[in-house]
Amino acid sequence: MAPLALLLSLLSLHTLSAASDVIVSNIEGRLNTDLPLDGVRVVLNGGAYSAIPRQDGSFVVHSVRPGAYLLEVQDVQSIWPMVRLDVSGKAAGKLRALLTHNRQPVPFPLPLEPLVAKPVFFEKREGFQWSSLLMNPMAIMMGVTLLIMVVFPKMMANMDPEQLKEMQQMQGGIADMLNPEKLKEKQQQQLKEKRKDRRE
Amino acid sequence: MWGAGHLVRRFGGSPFRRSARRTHPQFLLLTCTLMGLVQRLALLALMGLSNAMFEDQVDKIDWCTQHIGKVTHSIFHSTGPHRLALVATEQSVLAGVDLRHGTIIWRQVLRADEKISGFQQHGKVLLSLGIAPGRLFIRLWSTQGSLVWDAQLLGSAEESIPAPTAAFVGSSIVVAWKSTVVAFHGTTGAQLWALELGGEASDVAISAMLAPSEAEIIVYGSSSTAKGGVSLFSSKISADKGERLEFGSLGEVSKNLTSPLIATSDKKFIAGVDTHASKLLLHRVGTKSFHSIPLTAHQLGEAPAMLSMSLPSVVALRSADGGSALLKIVTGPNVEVLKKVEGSVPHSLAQASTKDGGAVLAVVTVSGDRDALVLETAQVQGDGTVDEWKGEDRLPWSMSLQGWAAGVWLNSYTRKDGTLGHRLLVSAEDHSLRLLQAAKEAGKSSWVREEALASVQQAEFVSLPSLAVDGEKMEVPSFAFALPAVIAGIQKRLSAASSASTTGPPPKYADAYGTRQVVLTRTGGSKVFGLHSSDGSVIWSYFVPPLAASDVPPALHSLHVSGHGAQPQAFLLAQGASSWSVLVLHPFNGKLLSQTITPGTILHATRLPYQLRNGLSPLLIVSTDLKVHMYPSTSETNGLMLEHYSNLYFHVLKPAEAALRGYSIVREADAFVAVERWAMIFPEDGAQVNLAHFPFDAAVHSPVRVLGDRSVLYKYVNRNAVAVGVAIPEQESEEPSIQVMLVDGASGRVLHSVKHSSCEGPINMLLGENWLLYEYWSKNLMQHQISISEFYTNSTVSDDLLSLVLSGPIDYTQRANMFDSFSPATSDLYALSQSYAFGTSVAAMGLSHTAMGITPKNILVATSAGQLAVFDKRLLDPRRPHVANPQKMTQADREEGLVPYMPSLGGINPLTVLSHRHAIKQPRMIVCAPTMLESTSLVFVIGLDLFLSRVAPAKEFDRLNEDFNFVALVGATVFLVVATVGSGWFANRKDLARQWR
Repeated sequence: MAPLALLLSLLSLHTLSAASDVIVSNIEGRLNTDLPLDGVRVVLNGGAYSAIPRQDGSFVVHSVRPGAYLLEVQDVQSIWPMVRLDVSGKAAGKLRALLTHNRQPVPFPLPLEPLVAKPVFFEKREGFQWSSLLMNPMAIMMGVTLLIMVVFPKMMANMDPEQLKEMQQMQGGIADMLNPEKLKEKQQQQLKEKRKDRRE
Repeated sequence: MWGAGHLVRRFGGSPFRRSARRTHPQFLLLTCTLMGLVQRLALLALMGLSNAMFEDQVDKIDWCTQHIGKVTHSIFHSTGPHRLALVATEQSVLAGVDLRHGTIIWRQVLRADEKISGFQQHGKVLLSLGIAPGRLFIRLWSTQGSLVWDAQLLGSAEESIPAPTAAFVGSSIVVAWKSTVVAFHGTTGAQLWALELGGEASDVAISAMLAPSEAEIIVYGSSSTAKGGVSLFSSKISADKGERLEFGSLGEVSKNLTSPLIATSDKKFIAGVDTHASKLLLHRVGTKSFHSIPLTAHQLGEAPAMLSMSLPSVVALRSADGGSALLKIVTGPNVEVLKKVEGSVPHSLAQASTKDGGAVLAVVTVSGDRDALVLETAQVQGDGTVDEWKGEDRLPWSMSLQGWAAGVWLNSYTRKDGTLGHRLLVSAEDHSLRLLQAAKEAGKSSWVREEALASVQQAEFVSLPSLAVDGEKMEVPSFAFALPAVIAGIQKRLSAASSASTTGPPPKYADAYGTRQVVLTRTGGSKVFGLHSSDGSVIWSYFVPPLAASDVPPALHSLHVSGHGAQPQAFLLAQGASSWSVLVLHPFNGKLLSQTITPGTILHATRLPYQLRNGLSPLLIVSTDLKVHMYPSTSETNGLMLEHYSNLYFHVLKPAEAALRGYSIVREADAFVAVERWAMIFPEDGAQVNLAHFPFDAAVHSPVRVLGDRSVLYKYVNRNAVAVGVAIPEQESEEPSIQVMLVDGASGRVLHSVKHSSCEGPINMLLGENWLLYEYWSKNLMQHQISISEFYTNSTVSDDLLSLVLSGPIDYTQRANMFDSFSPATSDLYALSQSYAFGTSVAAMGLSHTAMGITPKNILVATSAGQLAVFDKRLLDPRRPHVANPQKMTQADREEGLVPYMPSLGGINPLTVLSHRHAIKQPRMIVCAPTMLESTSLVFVIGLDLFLSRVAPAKEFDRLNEDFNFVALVGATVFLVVATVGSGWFANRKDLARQWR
């Protein structure tokens, strides 16, 4: 059935003799989409010829002079492929069509399908997420501090008394290093010791 | 950028390619495609960098209004739930307008060069006949607005193409055009037959057609005779096969018929007017001759012409002085006058057919006090008897606010009590479309559509004052009361979420960011509008009435806004038939402050860049006799002019002469006159010339461009530069070509010129501070192309570190002025250029415009399909390096932020489409205006539809995002406060406990 319809539509590519006796051809096709086609136009070379699709999506570009054309579907809802057309000047209805994006030949009437039927015009807004709040560097710092505050004393409590002593000494050392007054004291002590040594 | 680089590094890396080389060629191919895809993805990612919208911003930061244009044809029709006015307009739009509210139910926008000359409805279909040069478009639509079928007839592209006629005959549609009669199948549109009536006679023109029955058609027309007269003929054609059954001459007329033949609606008579002899030619269908009835006896005025109204045995005439007459055909045949209206009274005739084959005639005149329309009607029965003229219904109207009702369509309906009621659909001189009803039913259904907005020619933005204008209360946001504001905001959001709508009109004072502005629009309908930039509502409108009595409303020449803050003024220049006028309007309420009328014709008008003591800038107006006029013409402006006149230059493009002429101003005997200084003549045969200017109020932030290697290019920023684009169409021996020039507007010197052969216009140009962007169609490559040229000066200033140290900072004033238009050119410009293929045809281009010019630029492209896309200027940069692989870019180029060159900009990335789902039909120009925020620019697209949105080329760096999470901020603060207090209390308690231990 379908090939028959195709054949019939090929036969219907009738000619119209122009005033200047140039052989002109009609270009037929069909836009296959579920979206309404009210504002859609099919144009050649950006507006040299144009066609309005019918309700079923079929369109006819009338009386096209021989030459090479770029067929473009002007639509704001979907993205359509572009078709390169060669209209022969030898006989009416002698046409050739290639899809520009993959160089595939297409039969007539041009069966066109949108490349992207419903493109997304909007960026997605990222909503509020707990993970993003928690992954905040401040939050991480706070979390670590909290961890030290809560977990470390417990670890201390469970420690061996001897180890604790050792650690306290070590910590004391570190604390001394960090505390400037104690550091001064230490240095003075060291100085005193040195002087003692010299005297000796 | 990060995303792009990342993608390329991951997939475009060398290991992938090496493995490919070792394996199969197919794999190599795949890799190549993949590489291409990755590159495209990278590009897309980069394009996506520019601000895509969020879905919830729709209708908040943008608006789109749909228009149809000035209505020329209208038919009343009720279909299903709607009662429609099916209309055709001057802007070649067909539409169905709801009669109750005036909303557009459906709309079909045809080609801009197509003129709708025939419009008929038959049952559930609508036939439109459109004439474009050399073509007749025959289209059948359903009354719901979808195309049933279309067909075309070809003809030669003559100057005056006669109007076609059409008739529904049985199930087929017969169209007669010039000498051809063609029949189409009513449902499929297949051509059934075509008949050429011309034969050897060359100028046969069919002007009327009748279908007395479904079997036959009679066409009437004229052809010239050997003696120089005109012979009228009729021809009977069989409707099923298109055979010529009869052909007969009806007699000769001495002179050409200037008005077409009209068939009366009862199919009894064919009427025409011999305008020169003032005779009515009347033919009774079925007879073999014309009767000529002298009209002088009825005193109908000079040179009457036939109005194209089809009435039962009644014809309508209009005389040269504007008077009209309705004549009834009586047996004899002779005519008697039914109604006569003098030309001195503005009036319109209308008709409505009734169900029984009769008609209602209506004469609409203006009332004595000129603030109402008076409607008089008379009913014509099917058998030709005419009832009494009755009713003097008054309809609300204002001649000073709308002008005259140029087009009137009558809709008669039977009321419940059996009497006839009338509605009028009126297309006024200000292009507005109104539905009016007689006083008895006033307010029941009357609406107005401001269709002058379909022909906006200029738009100027004025910031609203920060104080309320009309005593409106203002809410002052304050940090001290932040909490109520936050609560109010939350409540507002909640209420908006629950009941999505019911917000009042936007306030008429400025917001903190300066996005609320008045858009002053000058239209083709002699009307100026002040639109609110927040929602497109009309704040005020001003119709410029005719400058002289018995004149048409003037054409609006230009609109200039001067002054700042709360005291700006809008100067409107209007050009009448023999005089011009300056109207000073208040930009916030549209009140006329003053008006002066001067005889003459405006050649050029501009606002001078100097300020008077009151903060306003004077206008400079040059009339066609080259006299210079100032507005206001005071001694102060004269003094200002004396000081500056030697620096004033202007240029005018004259399409009729195909010339661009430059003028300067000289002083001659105490008066200023303009003198032509230079001219540029273009090829006359159909060359299309257009100009582009850099907006004089646009800021240029930096005079240099710093490259990646820290060297500097000096921008050629010439405020006098004009871009001239010339598209030369295909000639017999030559290919089409386009030429784009940069011309100094003061001296007329061509600074830069490029010619692209075998390329076609129309050229869309955009002139930036030191660059020129233009779009055209490449015939050889079969693609739309965009070229960019950037101009730099060949500077000799040494600006390296050593010389800066030795000689101190550069004194730019000492340097020979590179931008003096008249200094001999020391060296040519240093121009960098690149071209790219573009995925779709471009209708208009614009450039984002910010307050200080610091923000990077966005290029706005309105496509022919009606989308508004945003492009980063970095994609249109002639310094894009030619590298096969983004990785091979030099470090310096990468630091400069350049994007590798690609021959194509690809299609339009949906994320860059600002207009999202709106289709902005027939876009013509894009106007951008700054806001208080440096990051943001308002974008206004002007076409048949109007669309306004915002762009922020570098994202909104100077304000918090609209989706900024205030809840998280408040939450975190509250948490910190609680934590501080809580932990303090806890520590105190612990301390106390320790002390007690």
